[in-house]
Amino acid sequence: MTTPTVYVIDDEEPIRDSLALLLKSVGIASRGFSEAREFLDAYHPDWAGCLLLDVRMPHLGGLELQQDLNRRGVTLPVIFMTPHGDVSMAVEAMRAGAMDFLQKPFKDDELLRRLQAALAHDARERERLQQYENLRQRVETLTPRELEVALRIVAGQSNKLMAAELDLSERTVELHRAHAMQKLEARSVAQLVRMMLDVDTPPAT
Amino acid sequence: MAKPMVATERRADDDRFRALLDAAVDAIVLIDGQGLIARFNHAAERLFGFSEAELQGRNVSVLMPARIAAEHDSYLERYQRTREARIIGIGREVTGQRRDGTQFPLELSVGEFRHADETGFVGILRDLSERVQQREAEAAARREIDELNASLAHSGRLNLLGEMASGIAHEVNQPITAIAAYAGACQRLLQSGAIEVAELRDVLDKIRAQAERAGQVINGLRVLARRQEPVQLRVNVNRLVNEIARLMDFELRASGWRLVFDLQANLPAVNADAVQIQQVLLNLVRNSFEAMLEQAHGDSVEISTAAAVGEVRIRVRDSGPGVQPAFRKRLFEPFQTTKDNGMGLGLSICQSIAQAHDGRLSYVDDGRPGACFELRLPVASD
Repeated sequence: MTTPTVYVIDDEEPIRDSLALLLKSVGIASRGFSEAREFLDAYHPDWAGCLLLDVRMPHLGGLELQQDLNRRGVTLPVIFMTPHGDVSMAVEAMRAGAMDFLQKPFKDDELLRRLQAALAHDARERERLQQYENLRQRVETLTPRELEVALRIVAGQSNKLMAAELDLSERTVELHRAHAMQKLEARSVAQLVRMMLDVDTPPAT
Repeated sequence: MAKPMVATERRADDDRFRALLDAAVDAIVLIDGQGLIARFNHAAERLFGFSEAELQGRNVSVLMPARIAAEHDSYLERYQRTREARIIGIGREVTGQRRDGTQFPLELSVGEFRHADETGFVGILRDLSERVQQREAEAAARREIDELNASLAHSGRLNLLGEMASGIAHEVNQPITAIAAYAGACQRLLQSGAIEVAELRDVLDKIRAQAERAGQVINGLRVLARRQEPVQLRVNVNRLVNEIARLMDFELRASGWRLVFDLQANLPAVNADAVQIQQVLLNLVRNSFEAMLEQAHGDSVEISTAAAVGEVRIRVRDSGPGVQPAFRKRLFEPFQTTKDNGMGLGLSICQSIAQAHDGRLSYVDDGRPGACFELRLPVASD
């Protein structure tokens, strides 16, 4: 994964330049783009951090970009910079899935606070996604029988019932159960249940 | 027997005469050569509040305000002497005074009559109070309309401002945002000692440039928001254009740019606010030079004038690559700009100035190279 970076998209060079310096002053990496298209062309799924977007830009505007990002499954949190007092645009931005918005001109402290929150949010989300991915990979190592047994455990079936329904010996059921727990790295039945439920509901993107 | 007969006839004539006077809608006053009132009809009684009986034999000046009354005898005397009519047979608007002392405007026409050994004057008076009030009301209404028009024109400009308000906020917020970010960064970098003097100086320059940019936006607005009515006078377009050269002389010499003129002689005059039209032309010329500078293409701008049907045409053409067709239709919309540092208000302000002159500003593609803007102004009516 790359260094968490604030991707600043604003058509005005002075804004990009000044924000880059501000971010540098607090040790946050940043990268500027003069338009949304430029960002989309350069974008790599590995990129971590957040997007700081001017809502009104020529060509592809901020809101359109947000929709485009949603379509492409880009999960970087987006903070919109909106014109001061333009509530409708801010509402629109939030509706389009923005994490936050700031009205220009903003206080630098305020901007940094929100950006740091966005970066932390992204880091958490990435962590969660990573965990889910790990879990999914572990679940995929289960054999069909082991998966069957694991699902029946989630459903609350006893070994005895499973043995009867699957036409297996209770001993064999216990063996599948032990293997499944081992493969999933579940230390208890409760944990196994939670894992199976987790893997059934991928993190929202 | 003849005598009583005459007396009867005479009384009958007299009665008929009186009835005639009293039937008149207008006030009628008969005076003798000395200005003493002989007859005062019903209408006059109603108008002045005096009865005939009260006034008979009194000087007619009793019906006038003091300042005129004092002169009246001398007017009569002068007329008797010179026979030079100032009012007799002419009529004029004068001021009358009622019994209660109130004054009112009236139209007075005076005729002289001679009958047997009698001479005198007949004055017919018509109350003008209502007409004057009406005239004053009309004048007040006209003033109100004028004021309304002025404020409409103002609110028209305010409307234009309103439409652009969100864009303007953006234009001012951009430099302010940059300034705040630069300043915040410097503070933090200074605190951690992570900034060199040279870098700091560089950032301060940028802050100043952004502050100037915000100031320019405000200056641009001030022109628009000014309530002052544009002063439109007959102007000679060629003279305006020549003044541009003088106004830009310094810039031209400093930059090495060239301004070329192709002016048609004997142009008809236009009604225009010279300063505003010059602002439009200066803006177009500067735009041209800036565009050429940015695109590193061309170094001269040509201003040409020509008469068209009912219009005077002023064209500003640069020697650069011209405006991309895709961008042309949005040229005059606020906040459209191809310039790195422009605010994109210039051409939309220019267009509103042109429209305020019943003129039009447009981009012209006549097949010749270079970007060409054309300002058309209607010829002044005589």
